This record gives sequence, structure tokens and C-alpha cells, in this order.
Amino acid sequence: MAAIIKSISFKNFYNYYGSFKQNTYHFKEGINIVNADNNMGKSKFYNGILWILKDTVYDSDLKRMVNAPSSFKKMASGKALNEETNFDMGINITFIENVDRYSVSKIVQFTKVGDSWRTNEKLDILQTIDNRDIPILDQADKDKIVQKIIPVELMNYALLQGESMEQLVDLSSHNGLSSTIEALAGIKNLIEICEISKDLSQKSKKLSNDKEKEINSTNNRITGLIQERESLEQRIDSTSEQIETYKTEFSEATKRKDTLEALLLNSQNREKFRGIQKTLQNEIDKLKERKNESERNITTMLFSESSPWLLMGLEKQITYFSDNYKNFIIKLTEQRTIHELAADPTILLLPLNSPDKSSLLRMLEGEKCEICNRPALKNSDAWKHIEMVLKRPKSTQSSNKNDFSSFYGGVQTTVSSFLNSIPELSQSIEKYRTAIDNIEEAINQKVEEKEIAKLEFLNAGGSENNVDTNDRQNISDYTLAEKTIEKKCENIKKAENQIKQWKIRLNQIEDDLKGINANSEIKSYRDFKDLMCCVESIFLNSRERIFDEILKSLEINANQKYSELTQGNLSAGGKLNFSKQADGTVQVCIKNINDGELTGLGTGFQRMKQLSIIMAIISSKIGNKQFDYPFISDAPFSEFGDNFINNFFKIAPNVFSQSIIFIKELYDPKSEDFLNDLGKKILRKMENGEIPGTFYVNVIEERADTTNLVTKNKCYKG
Amino acid sequence: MDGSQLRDLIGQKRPRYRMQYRALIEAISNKGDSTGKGDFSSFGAFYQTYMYAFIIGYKLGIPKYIQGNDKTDDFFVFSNWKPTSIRDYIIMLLLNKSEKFGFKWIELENASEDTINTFVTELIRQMEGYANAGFEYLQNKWDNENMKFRNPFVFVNFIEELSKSQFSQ
Repeated sequence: MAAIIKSISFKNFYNYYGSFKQNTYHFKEGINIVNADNNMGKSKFYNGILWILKDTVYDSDLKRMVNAPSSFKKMASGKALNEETNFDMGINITFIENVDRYSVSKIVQFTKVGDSWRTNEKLDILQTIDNRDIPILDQADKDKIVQKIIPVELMNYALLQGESMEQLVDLSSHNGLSSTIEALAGIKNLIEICEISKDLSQKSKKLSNDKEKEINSTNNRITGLIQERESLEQRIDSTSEQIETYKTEFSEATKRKDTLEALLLNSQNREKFRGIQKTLQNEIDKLKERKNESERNITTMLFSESSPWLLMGLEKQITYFSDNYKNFIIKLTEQRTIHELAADPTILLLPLNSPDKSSLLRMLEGEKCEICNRPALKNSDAWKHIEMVLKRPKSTQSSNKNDFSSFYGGVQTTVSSFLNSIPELSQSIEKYRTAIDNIEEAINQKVEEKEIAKLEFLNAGGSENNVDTNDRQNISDYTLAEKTIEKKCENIKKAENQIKQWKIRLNQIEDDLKGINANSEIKSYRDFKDLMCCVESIFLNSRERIFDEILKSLEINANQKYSELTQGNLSAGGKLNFSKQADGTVQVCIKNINDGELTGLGTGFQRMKQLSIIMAIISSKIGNKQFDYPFISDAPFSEFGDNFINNFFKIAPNVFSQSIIFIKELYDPKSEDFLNDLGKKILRKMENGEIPGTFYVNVIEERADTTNLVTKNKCYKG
Repeated sequence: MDGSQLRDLIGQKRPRYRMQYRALIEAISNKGDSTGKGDFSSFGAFYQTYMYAFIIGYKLGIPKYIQGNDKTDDFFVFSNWKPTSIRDYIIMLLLNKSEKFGFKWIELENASEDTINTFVTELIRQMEGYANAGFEYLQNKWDNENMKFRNPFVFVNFIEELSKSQFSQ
């Protein structure tokens, strides 16, 4: 059995406006390339194949798979819808399977009724035998023929879309793993035999036990041993059931952990940057409060007791007042003296700078006038004159009506305290301004840091309304899932150990019972039971062995493909590691040379990992032969570099007898032939026979919006 | 009369301002609150606003005396104004101009009580004159350059501006 698609044609299907003849792609064994830029019909082409094989299409607006009939109008050519009232939209695939040739057409008739369209879908299949086309009429036959293109069980591995590649092969779920092993090993019968043998073994045990109990009902020792055995068997059964429950819980927790893992990094990042934003906001608030406080204090500073900014520039007034006050005191003294002289003319008026009391006393003692520098002997006239000056009467009472000198003096004392501070006010203000500017600068810096944190937060999927419950929930759920996994693992191990102990005891009981003389009837029941247990164990072990061997071979094979696909790449891609989990599923991770998990690899490597596993599964299934069905892939290389693409083209023909690849990585809209260097290189290899297959390039001849877009194809290598 | 009696006489006075500045004073003062708050910078008590206006008017140099028919209002007696040191500074500034408004210190020593009362009245009139000149300046700024009052340094800026222009003169 080998299916090869010979051609695929479209009629008024999406961009593919016009008849089947105008939109035909002829394919061969080997690699068939459809090279097209964005919006030039790659995914639409792929949708046509999905429509035929699965009756679904990918709705790029809804970003999910939908039933084809719900999307007919979107599938129809915009130009046909605009220009015609009655037309057919459809796809035709011709393929050969061994010597039989088939033509499968899905066609929808569009008829305009008023403002809406009436649609009618039909599936036409022709089988060509001896150059005669025979229509297939029976629906069941039609379905069988469609499945000949790619059987349902292989669709997961043969139909690949770039974005969903990661989900195609899932060995970490029971279903995914079983279906893969089943697809590879065809051990469905073995699994059934395992179940039957288990059932038989249990029945034979019961039969043997009943017989033993019946015959030995009077022997207490035997009855006791049998009862203990029954009790142990029951416990083993219930614990085994418990283990199954643990395994289910383990699987669910693993699945939950895997789902949350994708969200976790972003959740953790969001939590981190949410926290940073909060801390920064607190710091900003505190700084703003400090700034406000400083600003509010400005008016207080105007009236500060020590350095009132209000008095800036008024320092000269203090000097002026001081001079006024001095003059006032002089005038006041003069006024008083004149008043005293008027009252007593004998009062001696002393000239300016006259000696004070201590000087006069010194002069009397030294008998010398220090004013005229002449001797003044005691009791001489000169000496007596000095004595008279010393003893002159003192005025004790003010002669004026008022005495405001204390008022002026008081004012002077108060204002003098500002004499030093006023000249420094400008500096003090400038210092204060700088301090506020520094706070402002610190605020701006924090705001900027907060903006960066906000950006990081948004980049991690955060939203403006900043609800944090989901993230905390995710983190806590993830932690819980991890703990559950750990706990269930522990439970499983503990239960398995317990069963092991019970089994040891069971064997002892069996030996004890065998040691006691038994009649031939019991012996035959025992032998039958042992035989059934043996059969059960053989099938179970076989299944386990096959399972392990398949996985081991899959791991080797996948690594070989992985190594071939990543060959020549500058960045080391590591090694694929298949590890069996406690629940029996398999986790595939990429390990580095030191056996540590290699993280941070790009999407390209992750997809290459998936592609390697797919290729390994297909190679394992087919042995040394090629995969017998078309391998069809849309944008598989969207995250790959040139080296990956080259490697793929090199090894794909060894694995797949036919592959149809929709790709844009070889496209260059500026080039005359729409090919970039890699495209030209691959075309050359095809032309000189190094790579078998065909090479098409999709082009848009007239610029138009999506509703009127018309894709044409150019066949570079037919 | 002695110095403390003269101080008391001055201290009992309630300096007045033109009613037309009431709204401005209300706007830039926060009664009962010593700190400025809100959108605009402001003073605490009314008398601080008054002291500020006086200094502005004094720096401007031309008093705007209250006329007989002017509607006026007053507040605390002068002796209650705080801080005392700045209150004394204002007295000093006025005493520095006493000769200009017709009173020599030395003459006051022998002046009658009536004359002293007249002197004190004139001293307060001068204070009011400068304060009202300051209020006029502030009112003008408030009406025409209102945005300046959003700057927390507005009152310092006015003082600085006038100090510079004084210096340049």
C-alpha cells in the first residue's frame, strides 16, 4: 500500500479564482514545494486538504479549526462572490494507491438568492480502472477511498501545521502515548490478551481458593492460611486500584503543571514586575510627600526666626538703623548736657575724648596730667583741677519728657541678630531649591523605573487594570501541582513496596500450603491457577518489554533524526531524553552534554524536537522503507534557520516517499523569480536531480485587497 | 513716656488693609493652618500675609496710603504678630523712614503725648501704605500672572525679583 498524490486543483477556492485547470499543481514522489509569501494561499491550500480529509478548515479569524460547512462563504473566492451569481467552489485531489488511480472532488455549488447565497456540497469520487473512470456512489466506499490518501490513525503524523506542531505528538498523556505505541507496534491484540489472561488468572485463583476451603474446612491451619491469603489478595487488589487512582491523579497534576508551566514564567514575571511597580510607587509617594512637605515649608521659611527669607536684601537697613540710633544717643547726650549746664553753670564741660574715671584716678595717683603731659604735684592747682573734674556732679535724671532710647535699643538688639544671617539668605534659598530639585529628580527617576517595570509587566501579558489574583492563583496552583506530583509519586512507590511485601508473604503462604499434604484434586486446581498466573505474567511482561523497547528505539531514532536536522548548526541542540514517569507516561526533554536539562532553546529547536519524534515514529513504523503516505506540512519552518531547512530537505526524502511543503522561507518579493538565495539553491538541486520533486511559486499578478485577491502559480520544476 | 509705653502704644494698633484685597488675602492665606496647601502656595495667618505685603511694598518704595473713603478691614493687634523678631524688623524699617514722614527721634524725646500718638498713628499709616502697595502688586500678579502662584517658590521669587531690581538700581 502506497498513496502518492498526483495533483491538487482548486476552483474558486479562497484566492484560487478560476477553474480547476487554471489552478492545478502536479506533484511527484519526493519533495513538492509550494513557495509563497504571506497571504498568497499557503494555509488556504492546506485548508483544501483538510477539507477533503477531515471536513474541517482552519479559520484564521477565529484562530481555530471549524467545520468546513460553517465556513463555506469564507472559503469561496472573493472575486467569484463579487462577480458571479452562480458558481462552483471546490478542490480536486488525484492520487494513486498501488496501481489504482482515484480522483476525489469536493464541490460546493453557490447560488445567489436575494442578498444571500444558497450552497450545496457534494463529494465526487472516480476510480480509474483500465483507463475507464468509474464513479463511486456508496458513501461508505467513498469514505474508505478518502482514507486511502492518509489513514486516520496516521493523520497526526502526516498532517503538520507549524503553529500546532507542539501538540501533535504528546507522549506525556496516557492517550497520546498509547495511540503512538499502538500506531508503531500494533499491539492491540496483545493488550486484549493481557486483559483476558488477567481475568483468567483471577478466576482460577478464586476457583482454587474455594476448592481448598471446601476440602480443608476442618483444618484450622489451612483455613487460617487461606483466609490470610484471601485477605492479602484483597488488599493487593484494592491497593493496586489505589495505585491506579494515584497514577490518574499524578497524570492530572502533571498535565495541570504542564499547562501552568507555560503561564508560570509570565505569571512570575508579572508578579515580580507588579511588586517592583508597587515598591516604586511607595517610594514615589514618600518622595512626593517629602517634596510637598518641603514646598509647604517655603512660606514658613519666609518667617523663620533664625534666617527669614522675607528679609532678603534688607541687611543695609540694620546698619542704617544702627547709625540713626548712635546719632540719636549723641544728640540725646548733648541735649542733656546743655540742660544740665543751664541748671548749674559751674559744671565743667569736658571736651570730646575726655579721660574717664579710672584715667583721672591714675593721673591723681601719678601726679601727672596725661592730657597735657605735665606734672601735677599733689595739692598743686593742676592736681586739684584733676580732682575737681573727677568729683564733678553727675546728672541722674533725664531732663526730657520722654525716654525712648530703650525702645530703639531693644529694636536694635532684636534686628542685630539678623546682621549675619540676611547676607546668607540667597544661599540658603538656593540650597533649599536644590534639595527640592533633587527630590524631583529622584521622583522622575523612580517614575521612569516604574514605567520600565510597567512595560515589562505588559510584555509579560499584564493588563492595565492589573488584576493580580490570576497570577497568584497560577503560581499557587503550580506549586500545588508540583507537590501533588511529588506526593503521588511517593504514594505510588509506598503502595508498590507494600504490595511487594504482601506478595512475599503470599509466596510464603503458598509454600506453606504446598508443604501440607494435599489431595490430587486440590493439586490440579493449584496447578491450573499457577499456570494462569504464569500466562498473565508472560503477557504482561511482554507488553512491558515491547513498550520499553519501542520507546528505547524511538529515543535512538528520534535522536538520530534530531542530530541530522540540527547538523551544522552553530548552537548545540543537546540530546533528546525520554524518561518514563511514575504514571507510565513519557516526558521528552532536551538534555545537554552534562545530562542537565537544556532550557532556553528557541522555538526552532522545540519544533525540530517534535519533527524528529514524528520522523522517528514514522521511521520506526516503516522500518527501512519510506513512509507510504504523503507528508503534508504548512509553514513547518517558520521558526527555522537556513541550516535546518537545508537539513530537512536532505533527510526528508529518506523518510517520506512524498512530502508537500508550503513554505515562505524561500520567497523574495524583490527578486525577479521571487526566490531568495536559499530558494535558488534548492531549485538548482532539484533541477540537477539531487532533490527529487516539484517546485511551485505562488504569485499575485494584480494587487488587490483580500476580497479580490487572485493567486496564480508558476511551476519552476514540474 | 518711656520706651516700653511707646512699644505698647504701637502694639495696640490694628493695621488696616483695603477691603478690595480681602479676597486675595483669603486666597493666599490659610487661617488656622501654618502651612500652605492646595493648588496654590499660601501663607498661614493673615498677619503673615500682611507682613509679606508690607515687605513687598517697602521694597517697591512708594506707599499707597489708605484714603478716608476707602473701605478697610483689620485683624489682630500688632503686638500679637509673630515672629516678634520680624515684627521688630518692620518697626525698624519704619523708624528708618520716620524723618521722611516728619518725625525726628530726638524731637520725640520732648514731644507731648498727643504728638507721640500722632507719631504712632503716622507710623501705622506708613505701615498700611507699604502693605497696601504690596497688596496692589500681589493683586496685579494674581490677576495677570496667576499661574505663577502654582509655583511653590512664588513668594520667594517676588522677593528675589524685587531685591535684584533694588540692587540694580
